[in-house]
Amino acid sequence: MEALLEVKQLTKNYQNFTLDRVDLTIPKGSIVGFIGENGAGKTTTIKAIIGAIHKDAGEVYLLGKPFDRGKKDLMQEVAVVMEGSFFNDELTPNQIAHILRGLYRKWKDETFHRYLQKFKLPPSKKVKEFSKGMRMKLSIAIALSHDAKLLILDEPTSGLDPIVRSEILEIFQDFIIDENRSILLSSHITTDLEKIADYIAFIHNGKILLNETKDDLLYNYGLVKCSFDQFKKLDESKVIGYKKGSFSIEALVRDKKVVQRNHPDLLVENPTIEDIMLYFVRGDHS
Amino acid sequence: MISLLKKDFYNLRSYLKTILILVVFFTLLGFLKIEMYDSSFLSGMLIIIFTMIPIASFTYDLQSKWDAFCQTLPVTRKEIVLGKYILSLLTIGIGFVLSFIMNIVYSLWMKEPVDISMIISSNGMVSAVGIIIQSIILPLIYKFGVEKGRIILIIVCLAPTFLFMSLGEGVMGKLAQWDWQVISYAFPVFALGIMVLSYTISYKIYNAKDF
Repeated sequence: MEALLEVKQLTKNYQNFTLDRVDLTIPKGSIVGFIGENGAGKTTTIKAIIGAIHKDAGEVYLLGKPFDRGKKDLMQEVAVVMEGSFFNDELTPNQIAHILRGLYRKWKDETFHRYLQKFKLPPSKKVKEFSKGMRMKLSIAIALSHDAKLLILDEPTSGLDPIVRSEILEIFQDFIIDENRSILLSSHITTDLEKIADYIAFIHNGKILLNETKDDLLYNYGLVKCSFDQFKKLDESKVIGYKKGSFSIEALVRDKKVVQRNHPDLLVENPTIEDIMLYFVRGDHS
Repeated sequence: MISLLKKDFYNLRSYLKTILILVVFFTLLGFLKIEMYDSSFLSGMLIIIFTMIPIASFTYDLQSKWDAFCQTLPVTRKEIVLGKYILSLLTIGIGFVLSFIMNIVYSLWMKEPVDISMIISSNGMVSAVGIIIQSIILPLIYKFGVEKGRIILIIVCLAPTFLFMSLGEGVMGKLAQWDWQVISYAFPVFALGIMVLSYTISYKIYNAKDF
């Protein structure tokens, strides 16, 4: 499948953190969920992709073109939503549109106003009077109005109520109906990603631990609940992490089918993304 | 880049309204014929007030973390920095024009002859000082941020004042003999040269930043 965004060996060194040779591919027409705990390097990766921070090594390609050389042109095709940084909140959507009209070649006022209406956003009210969900919708309306191909969202659903969250997730799904568009969505609300992501990239301590389709991920990994004796018989190489209870052990295993075949007496369940994340990061390791 | 300027003017709207009230107030004060409060004092103050406007724009940017957001837009870092310098020149230009108009109105009010070349050269001198203040302050803001930059600005403005005050009568007397007509034309050109230099420094600082 053709890639919209390709990140190769992206590296950034800080005194006490390193973004370590991150590889990331975003195929056209897909939603890539970018997960990891706070401080794992999600925002750093996004910032290094768009050049807000200077990378120490690695390459970024958008639509097959190197990002470094054509950043100004390529940013026409990208919309980035990051928490906390935006226009001054004294401005209204109308004024923001007036500013952006001059920046984006493909900006369409009609489209913008159509989305404002659809999202029930008052065009001449100051942004400071908007709720968090409304601000998020405004950012999405902007992205849709300049016909962005790639939407990069850093924690877009955190702090939103379930109803607004599901509304926004629907908008994302509509966005990629056009097969030329994609979304990179960083979040630690893994249930959201279970609903909409096609791929999951999992970053931990600045390194990509997993980068698979969501279905493969949920299909290949298994959650085993067993006794201490049963646990001892498990192939060590298959166990990613485990948690000891007073009477039993819960463990995350890879190659679910193989484990199930070798241990027909075991109950192997499907894990959630959250389980996978937790056992990779926090579980005891054999 | 014009969009960046639009953004600044939108941000500064309420601030500019306050400035306008100040300008009207000081102008009206001028009609009271207070000693020392002549038109040249007023034009000096006016242009310096306008010089401060770009600094306020940095404060607004800081509040909304604009610089980080700006990295997500199709603009280059060069345009972002250049935009601020053009904003500086624009506001000083507006100050110049306002002060120019006011000087003429004053002269007519006082029934004095209108000396256009004198008005242009005196306003030009003050504008040049404004440009030099900007040229010093902008790289400092880019390097240290607007809060610290503001404090440094006060020092930058006070230093020459104390310098002149500490110069003896003799030096001041010699200064008075200089050909001020020539200087008043050369000085703005010199100031613009400083500004170009200042821009290259600011760009270097800004370009190295991580947001």
